[in-house]
Amino acid sequence: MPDTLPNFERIALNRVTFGARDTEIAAVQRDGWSVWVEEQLNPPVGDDATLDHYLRSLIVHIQYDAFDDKRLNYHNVAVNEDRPLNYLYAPHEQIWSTARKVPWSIAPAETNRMEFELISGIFMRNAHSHYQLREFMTDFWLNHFNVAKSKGTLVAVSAIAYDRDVIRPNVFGNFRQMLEAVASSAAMLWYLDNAGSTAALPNENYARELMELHTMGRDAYFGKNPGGEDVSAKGFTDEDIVQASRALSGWTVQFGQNGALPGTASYMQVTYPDNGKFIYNSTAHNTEAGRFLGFDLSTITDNNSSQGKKVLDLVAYHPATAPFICGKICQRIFGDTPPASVVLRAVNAWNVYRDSPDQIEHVLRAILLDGAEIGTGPCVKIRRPYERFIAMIRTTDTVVGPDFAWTWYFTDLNDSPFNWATPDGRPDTNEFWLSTYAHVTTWEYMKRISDTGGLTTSFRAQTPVEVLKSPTLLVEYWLARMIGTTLNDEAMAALIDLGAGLPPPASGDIDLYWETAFARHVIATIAAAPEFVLR
Amino acid sequence: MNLKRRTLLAAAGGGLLGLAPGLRIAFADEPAQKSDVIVFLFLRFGMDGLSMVAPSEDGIYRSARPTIGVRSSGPGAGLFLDTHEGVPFFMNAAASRLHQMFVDKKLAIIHAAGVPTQNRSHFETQEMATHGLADNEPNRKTGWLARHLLAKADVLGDFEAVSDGQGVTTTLDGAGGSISFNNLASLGSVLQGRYADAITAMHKGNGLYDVSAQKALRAAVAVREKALSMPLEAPNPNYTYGGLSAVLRPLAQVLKLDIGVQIATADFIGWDHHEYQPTAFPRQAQELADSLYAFTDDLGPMANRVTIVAMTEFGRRVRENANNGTDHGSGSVMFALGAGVNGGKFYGQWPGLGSGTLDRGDLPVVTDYRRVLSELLVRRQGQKNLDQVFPTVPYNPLGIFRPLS
Repeated sequence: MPDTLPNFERIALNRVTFGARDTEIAAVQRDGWSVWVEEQLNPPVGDDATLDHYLRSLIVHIQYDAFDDKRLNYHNVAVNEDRPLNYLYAPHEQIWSTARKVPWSIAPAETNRMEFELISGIFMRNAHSHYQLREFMTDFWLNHFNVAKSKGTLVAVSAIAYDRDVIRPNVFGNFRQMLEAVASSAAMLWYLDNAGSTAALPNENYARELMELHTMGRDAYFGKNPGGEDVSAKGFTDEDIVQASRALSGWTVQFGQNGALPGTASYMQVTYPDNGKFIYNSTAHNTEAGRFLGFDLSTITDNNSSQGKKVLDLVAYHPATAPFICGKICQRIFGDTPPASVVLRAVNAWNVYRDSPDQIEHVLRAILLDGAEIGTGPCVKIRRPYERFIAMIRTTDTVVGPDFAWTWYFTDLNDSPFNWATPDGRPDTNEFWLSTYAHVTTWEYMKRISDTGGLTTSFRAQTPVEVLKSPTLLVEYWLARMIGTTLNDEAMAALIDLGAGLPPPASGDIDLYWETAFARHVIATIAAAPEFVLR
Repeated sequence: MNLKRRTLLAAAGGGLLGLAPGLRIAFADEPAQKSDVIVFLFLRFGMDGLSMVAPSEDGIYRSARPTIGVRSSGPGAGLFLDTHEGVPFFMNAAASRLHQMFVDKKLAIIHAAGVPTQNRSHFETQEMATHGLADNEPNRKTGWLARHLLAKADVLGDFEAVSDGQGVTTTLDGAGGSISFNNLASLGSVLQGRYADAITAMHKGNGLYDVSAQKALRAAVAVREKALSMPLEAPNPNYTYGGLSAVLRPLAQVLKLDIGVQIATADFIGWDHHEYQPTAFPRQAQELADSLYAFTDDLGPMANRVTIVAMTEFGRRVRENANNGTDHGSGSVMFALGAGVNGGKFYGQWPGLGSGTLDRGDLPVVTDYRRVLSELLVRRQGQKNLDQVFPTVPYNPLGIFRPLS
């Protein structure tokens, strides 16, 4: 049996970060948990200074050939340059218009570059941001409001702005505001088809998932409600979906199509610019919306986006929404059955601070500070493969560079950003990760990834000199760093045997031996221990 | 049932993990089990049965689907299948391989079939379909395939059920997890030597996580050993580069190992055609047809023991929408193909598309999906306790499947 159970600080930090570092545990022990939480809840706009400097210093080469085919009207310019991660900071309109030239004048290498910067940026921020609670909640909300690049190029290139401008500024903010930011984002409008909705036949895809996935939840869905009784206090029906789809029709993206300007008559057509920005197009707005969740939408006639906004009000403030979303947040933190006391406090804070700009911040305070559950075991939540990877990176002070060679591994495991095809997002249950494939493949991939490009390891430099010569001390040292405890006797013996049994370095390069063989074998194996996997 | 194999595997679970000799004996000493295999293919996210198997000459169909409808003549027209209850049906031209299987009497079609429900949520109806439910029935939170396996035997071995991908499929909820292999080639170095020893030593607990990890290691090691003992085969050239082939190819690999798999499940997503259906649907239909063809071809002689059933959670509204797509509907088409199928025929009643029969604009479910599945389980796997699998559905076979000989 392990000598010691993890302490309060380690348990608490591991539950709301991508892996607790020794230095962070020490800081919480010194200053107190509430000091850490308050600092985390008040991050700067954008990245912390260290991370910001790091990301802006990165230069990645890009090269592709010119391609000029008059018939296809290609006009590519050859590119061969060292370039910073400019797309991470480029305005959405600029990225959109660049991508919209595809396939006429922009090389696929350029749209690939957008994805490269986005995904590497997420890896690097998750691993290196000082504001780990923001990273944790960004990960949560991106999955809650899932969009997938498989829907098409325009969702993929809108994902940079979706992550940066839509989700991140709102992760601690007000849910109703966040909902509208999502509803009017190019990524979501395109992903769930509302951008193509028309007055004649409103598309129901977004309206349905808005209620079923984004706000009230599956348990509040009453289907066709054949009895016809008023269930609006408890949830929504197919009729509500039809009404919402009408109210939200006209919420679209400007992509060079014809339409009317907000507030003008639908026949006053103009041609929109092709900039990927939100617009309310009254030409595409169906005016027949009636009773929705007990409210008569036909009373709203301003021919702007007010009907849709009213729909967002009604779903955001519906009594089913608070328990659904607070339950999901607590499940992300604690596991499949979070303590009822915590969920109750979260729901209460959600409702009390419903109209505050920092509503979600209050909810997190209620979860993290108004009781001791956060630092109390048992630790039963399975770290997803991706979480395991980032935790391995963080607890071994490895540096992630602009590289996404390992993206493929997580795509294969259904755990990479913007890759879950359907709007429900990845299931956040333990069972999802219990299949043979998830177990074995994660073990295998962790071992391979630790030997992949884009990671700067320094295991040897970090290991104290007196520890270097003893396999036993080595294993104990890295277990303490990564897990904070030893393992059962048999596992200890097997790990020590694994470290001792590594073949001597073939090239005679002792540094190479440390950074590759030792990393792959001992550190990746520690990352497979249940004590590491369960947080 | 193969009691001896079970006992050995259970013993291995008691402490002989890693490269346990017991596992090797399990394969070396025992003749492979020769039962039939059921493959349940779930076409997730609402496959439009009316674009797959279309009543193209129905006037209501043509007027409801002026843009996206499957035509009976002209360029890209559907392929004539049969006249069922006086209505000629046409297979989507992109699914020509399925059409050929129908002509060859290997494929049976059940139209206006599915989950009897008023629900139009993907996620809820998918759960109903995998848990074997209809409206107003309590959800026991177990999958119908899990109940089927448990109703046949008290204890499950490691290999009765396999699923594609990394997820534990919900049809097997309650069966204690299935084994799943995307790619046998990926099961490599972690299963050997000191690494496997360390992994084994770490997972000695009795918790759900440790137990499932033990099972994963045990199953992966055994499958790897068996795979290594088989001669290398050239990959079957008929597979596509699409999503379903990526699932069925490794499944064929596992089935050909002949390790006693009885149930396999696979998911094929991407049917939610709210827009661009005329381009998107044929792509999906072709992937379905071509991959199924490749799979049965790849199985070789093993194909004589494999029965495949494909279904979706719901079809789509009869009338097309403004985006050249369709919104969520109800009845759709089910397919049965492979060993033991009385193919080349339609089964179940066709209600027509008249306003009197449609369920608020949707093709109704006339044939409860469980009527088809019950017959499958009884006739192809000798299920005698059907009441434990589908307690609310009386047994009433349509004659789609031949009894096991």
